[in-house]
Amino acid sequence: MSIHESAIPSTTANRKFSLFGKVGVLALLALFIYGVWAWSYQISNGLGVTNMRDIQIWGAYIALFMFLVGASAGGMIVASIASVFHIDKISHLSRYAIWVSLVTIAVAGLTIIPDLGEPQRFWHMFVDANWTSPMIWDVIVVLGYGFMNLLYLWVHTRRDLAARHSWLAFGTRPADQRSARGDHRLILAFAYLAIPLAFALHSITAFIIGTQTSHPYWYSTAMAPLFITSALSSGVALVLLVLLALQRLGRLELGAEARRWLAGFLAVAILLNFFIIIVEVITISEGRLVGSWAALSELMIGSYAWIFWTEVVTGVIALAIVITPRGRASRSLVAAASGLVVVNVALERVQLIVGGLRYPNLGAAPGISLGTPVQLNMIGVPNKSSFVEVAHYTPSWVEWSIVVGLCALWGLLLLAGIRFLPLCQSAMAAPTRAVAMTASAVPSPGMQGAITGSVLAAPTPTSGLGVRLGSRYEQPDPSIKAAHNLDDSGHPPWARP
Amino acid sequence: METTDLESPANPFGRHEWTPYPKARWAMVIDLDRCIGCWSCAIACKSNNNVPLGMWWNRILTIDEDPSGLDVRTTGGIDEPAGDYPNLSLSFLPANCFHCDNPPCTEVCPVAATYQREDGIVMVDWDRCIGCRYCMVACPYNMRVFNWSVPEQVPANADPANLNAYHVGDWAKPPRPKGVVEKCDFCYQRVDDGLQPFCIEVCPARARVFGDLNDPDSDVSQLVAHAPVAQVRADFGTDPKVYYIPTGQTGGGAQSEIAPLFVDPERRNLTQAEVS
Repeated sequence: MSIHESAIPSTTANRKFSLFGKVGVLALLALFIYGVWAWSYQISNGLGVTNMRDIQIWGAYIALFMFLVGASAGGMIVASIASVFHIDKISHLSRYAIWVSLVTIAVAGLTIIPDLGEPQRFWHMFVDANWTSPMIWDVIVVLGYGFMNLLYLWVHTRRDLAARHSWLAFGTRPADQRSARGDHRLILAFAYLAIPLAFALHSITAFIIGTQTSHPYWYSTAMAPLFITSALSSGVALVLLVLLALQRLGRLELGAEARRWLAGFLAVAILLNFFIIIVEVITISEGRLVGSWAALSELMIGSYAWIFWTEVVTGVIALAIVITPRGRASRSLVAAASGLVVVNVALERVQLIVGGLRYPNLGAAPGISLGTPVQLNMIGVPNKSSFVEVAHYTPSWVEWSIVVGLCALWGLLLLAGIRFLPLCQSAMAAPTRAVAMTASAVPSPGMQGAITGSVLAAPTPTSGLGVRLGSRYEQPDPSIKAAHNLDDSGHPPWARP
Repeated sequence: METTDLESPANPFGRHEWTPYPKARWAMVIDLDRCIGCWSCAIACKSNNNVPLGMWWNRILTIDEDPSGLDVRTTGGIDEPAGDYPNLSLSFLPANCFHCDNPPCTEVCPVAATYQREDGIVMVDWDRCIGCRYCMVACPYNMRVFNWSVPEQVPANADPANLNAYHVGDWAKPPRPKGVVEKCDFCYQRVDDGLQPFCIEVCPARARVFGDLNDPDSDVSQLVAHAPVAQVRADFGTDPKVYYIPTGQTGGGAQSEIAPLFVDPERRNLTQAEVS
């Protein structure tokens, strides 16, 4: 099935929301405003309204930040490997994927703000940067990744935006074949750039905790690979969830092949994630590093056991679904697996944050001061000590509210793009591979247009290269075949039998 | 040049990178055989540095000491002896910021709000701290505390809008705004004025000794050179500059053998006459 057939008209993809949809948007808006109110409450009263204290220094916000950074990987991966490796099954999903990625990284960046005690001093990060701090590098890479996503999406959509006379086109002319060719190359360049940048993003986010020698549970070489694999699995799962929902709503034709391919990719990502976790668990359970062993045993049989075992169960069920052809064949099963993977990775982040901070190195009595005055009872005696030896953390209602508000913002931004942006790819903005080939084969600009025109007009081939690569590829001109040393075997020159 | 005139605070917040003793390397030696776990140093620290309720720059841990070094283990509760009856022991570890030679906190601070002076004191710039608490995560010893809410003092600040209206302790330690990290700074104003940190002054057992590690004749240099000193969890590579003399090795006599028992009156903020 070619993308030209699968692409549904933009009038359908961008149609107005139904009553149900409008109610949903209003609900999200209400939740977001509630989150903003909770944040203003936190600003006026200080971070003491959270349940973080001097011992549980970081909590829900950092866990959400690390989850969202990871989940933003998926869109970029889906978009860029479709271009770089010419995976045509999923190339029509690139814009949706980039949009999910962009929205997720934007909300991830915002998640850091409520975690700051003095958010109005955030600008110091840009003028007084301390280059030995992994957090500075993370700020840079999150911003860089976000802007790259934005540019990538803009280049992808600007011809369609121009066709709609949108000011977002910033003076771009609507598509003609030559401009589409240039865009195609630019998109390919972005796709190549995205892969190392995504690796940098997740590794540097992992270094924030992975370089902390004082926390044996975090101080591990496996932290960066773990963040990469969990980003792959949660990111692809999130994109799949969004795409399946859009298909359910009739705004997108996902295609069975694309779903199967993405589900298969998800299976590989889950397996890799399991591999890193198992390696880490076996290494820690050697048990000589007291701190990490204490954290791990707490996770396996202690008070956080439910987190760890929910992670294991969700991961195994999701893997069982997407690894079997029958599971991949079912839309609802794939959606369920994707949801489970999202839960799985979110819990993994929670586990990292609470496990790494639970036991202080100098945990002798009375322990670490809480940092807030204790409450006195009726006769003026404190209800509890102002010291704790072990962290007991559950997020407060303010933390939950802000987390929910940020998730609502994510949903609002996502829906805004679906409603207003030309995310459904048209044939115009996605030039065929044959066109790109033509461009590289023919030096004269004058001839380019002529040949492109003839290629587009050529009938669909039934044999040779066209068949092998899929019917959407028109048979190239003989001169192009000669220039690229192509023959009818369908193999590249270095792989011919 | 920045002044540390006790009467007129130029800017009680902000950076204080200037030190009158740039060649010094301030350090502390604490004799655990002498520590009686009375928390005088902790209370003195709170009052001198205007430390809010619920926060401690200086706290006394009850430890079960490993004879081979300072692998700090808990005995289970505060003031709870280690061992089985009748073979019991009770030892304490007074813990404040170690002012490490290789501090992880200054390395991770994204805005360089925590920094190390030339004399080795690790400082926090309360005008710049953004409250991300990464330094607290990086500190292996949990010596940093955070102003989670508006700091509360007893007696309360008379005019909350004016941070300098009333406060306890040194003029230069005003109430902090909420949302910044704070910690022991070796009472740097006192040190700059030629005095000792307040915890040294108040210790009734003279368990604490403070001085310049770069001066070979100083008390701390002598103790570090000749007494069986240990650093807490030195395996983190931080090289703490608070040394401990573990219990049971010198019987509390390290100071009287090597350093003078009484601190030089000229270096005290109170003269002997004023004390009596």
